[in-house]
Amino acid sequence: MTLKALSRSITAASLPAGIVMAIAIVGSAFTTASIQRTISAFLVDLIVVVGLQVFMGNSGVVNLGHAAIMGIAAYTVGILATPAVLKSLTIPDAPLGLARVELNVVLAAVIGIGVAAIVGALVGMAITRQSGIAAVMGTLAFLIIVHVVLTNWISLTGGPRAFFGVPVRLGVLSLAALGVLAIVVARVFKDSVTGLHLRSSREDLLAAAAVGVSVRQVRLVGWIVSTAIIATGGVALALFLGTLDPDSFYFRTVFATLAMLLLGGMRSVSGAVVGTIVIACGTELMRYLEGGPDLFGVVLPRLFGLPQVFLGATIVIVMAIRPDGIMGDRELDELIFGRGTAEQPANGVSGAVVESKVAATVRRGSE
Amino acid sequence: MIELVQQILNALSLGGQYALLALGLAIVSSVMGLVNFAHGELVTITGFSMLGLQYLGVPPIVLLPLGIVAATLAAVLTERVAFRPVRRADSTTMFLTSFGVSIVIQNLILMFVATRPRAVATPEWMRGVIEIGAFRIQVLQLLTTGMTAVGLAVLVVFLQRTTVGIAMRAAAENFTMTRLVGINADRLLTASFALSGFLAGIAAIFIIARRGAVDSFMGFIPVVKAFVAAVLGGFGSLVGATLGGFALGFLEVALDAYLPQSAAGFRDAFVFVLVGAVLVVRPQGLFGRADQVIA
Repeated sequence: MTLKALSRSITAASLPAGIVMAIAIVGSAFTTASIQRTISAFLVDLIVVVGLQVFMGNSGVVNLGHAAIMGIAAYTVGILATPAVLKSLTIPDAPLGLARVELNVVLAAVIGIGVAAIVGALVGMAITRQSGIAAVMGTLAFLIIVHVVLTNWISLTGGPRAFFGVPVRLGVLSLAALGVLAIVVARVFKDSVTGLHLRSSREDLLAAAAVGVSVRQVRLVGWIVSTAIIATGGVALALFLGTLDPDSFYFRTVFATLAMLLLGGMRSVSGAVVGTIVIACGTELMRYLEGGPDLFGVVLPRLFGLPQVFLGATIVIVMAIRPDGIMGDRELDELIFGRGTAEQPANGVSGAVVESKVAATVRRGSE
Repeated sequence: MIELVQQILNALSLGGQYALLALGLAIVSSVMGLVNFAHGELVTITGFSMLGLQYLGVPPIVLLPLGIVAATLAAVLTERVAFRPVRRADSTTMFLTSFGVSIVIQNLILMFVATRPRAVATPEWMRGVIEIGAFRIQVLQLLTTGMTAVGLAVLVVFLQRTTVGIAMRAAAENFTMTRLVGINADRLLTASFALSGFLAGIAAIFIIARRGAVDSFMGFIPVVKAFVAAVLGGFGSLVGATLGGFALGFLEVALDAYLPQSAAGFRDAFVFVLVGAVLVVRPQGLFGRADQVIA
């Protein structure tokens, strides 16, 4: 990737990144704890959904195991960074004397992402060998394996009970910065040569392989980049919430993030951002309705499970009406400034038009 | 020796349940290309239909066939409502739709029917034990194994001898060609779903008899196991699904028997790791064809 192309990708990513930053800045103006928490949770989801997009969107292979990656990263940070005093209460018998270890948060975060990335890479090597449904099954099996381990390895994780006392270090603005970083990395990957190869394998596996794309290799690279971003999301969750439990890294999270990505459009990084925003707002509304609120004098019944029905129905309806999601394979910059040379336009548009559009995009971007 | 025989029966009855569910998945997948994640919800629906009928005063013995009918109808209904609109879509879109359907059904039951597990009565004699010499055999296990065998036999006859069954096998080879020779696609899909629902219903009544209670998330673990069985056997192959189901049953019973107490909670993790290892070596599954592997 040339420096020029790199800067073009980064510039293009600034649109969705700017939206996220704007939400965070407006959000940080509200000091209410519950609003802060809601926006922080939204930003963690955003990091994860963008990470999910990197593999799922570019390869077209469904991944249901991302919550497990989050869990590994989050628990690693939790176990390493929580003060030893607290751990002597929660996990006094942790193996390898981990109960007495107390690392600096930044170091713990790096190790957390590293551990998750290594486990992810091993799983990725197995998964990228499989095709279609076997690969999906592989990610699902991974999710369940990690959940079983987190729930049953009581001496290390505290088991099904909440693991508390993780130092709270991230607020809305620092989470937003991580979100912006995730968006930029995802966009740069999408526009990179490897990203293009991976996308070509999504469009036509055999044709891509025929022109020399090593499908297994580009899938593995995409999987690892995706895993690293998702692991960052897991670390972010641990460091803003301060409490972890195995169920946070199971199906509930998988449903929510998947609905976000599918609604927005999994082939687009901007789509991941748009989908996360829409679903986050929708879910908040559903949570409010779930509790049976008093609406203009009418007391609604309590509807336990309403947010989940909303997520499931969203997936079903999007798949039936608009399987490409809101954005399809378009990015916000392409929507506003037209398409660059990355994808050749459909019939009838001359190369000159395309070139001038690219020039315009670059000009406007550099202003 | 006695121990071994009882463990084998144990494995056969557990494997039979997985095989019945995996077959339903394989039938629908081979005919329309849908990998149906909502298949497990058929088990849940069977359970809650039995619960509802029980409240109406239907005796336990009649609940069993009615449960199977409910599963069959529910399978046909999900096809009409949710899967027909995405019939022409690619397999990823269809799979994700079924994923959504599964969440919706689970949570609608949670929302409108029950948030806690409810007891469902099964006939007294099903929970009995037969003693033959030194052998103590649970009636439920015998029944599960027997019914699985009957179900498989019916399935083979259906697929080999009836027009619809032959059309299904033809559609699994080439759907367009099957339509060209005058088979009604809609009816064929309805029949496939009905068949998968019927098999899921048989598995469901035994799952429910064993648990004694129903809750809205009870279908999840069975469907995951059925997926594993189907993939292990070679996805899309009916023989593979059956053998994969029994292989998984034997694996789980063996792990239950030989894992130390301290590691018992990790059984499912061991199962999935072992199955994963098999698939790394043989991506097409134990009984699948190598040419089905693309990447």
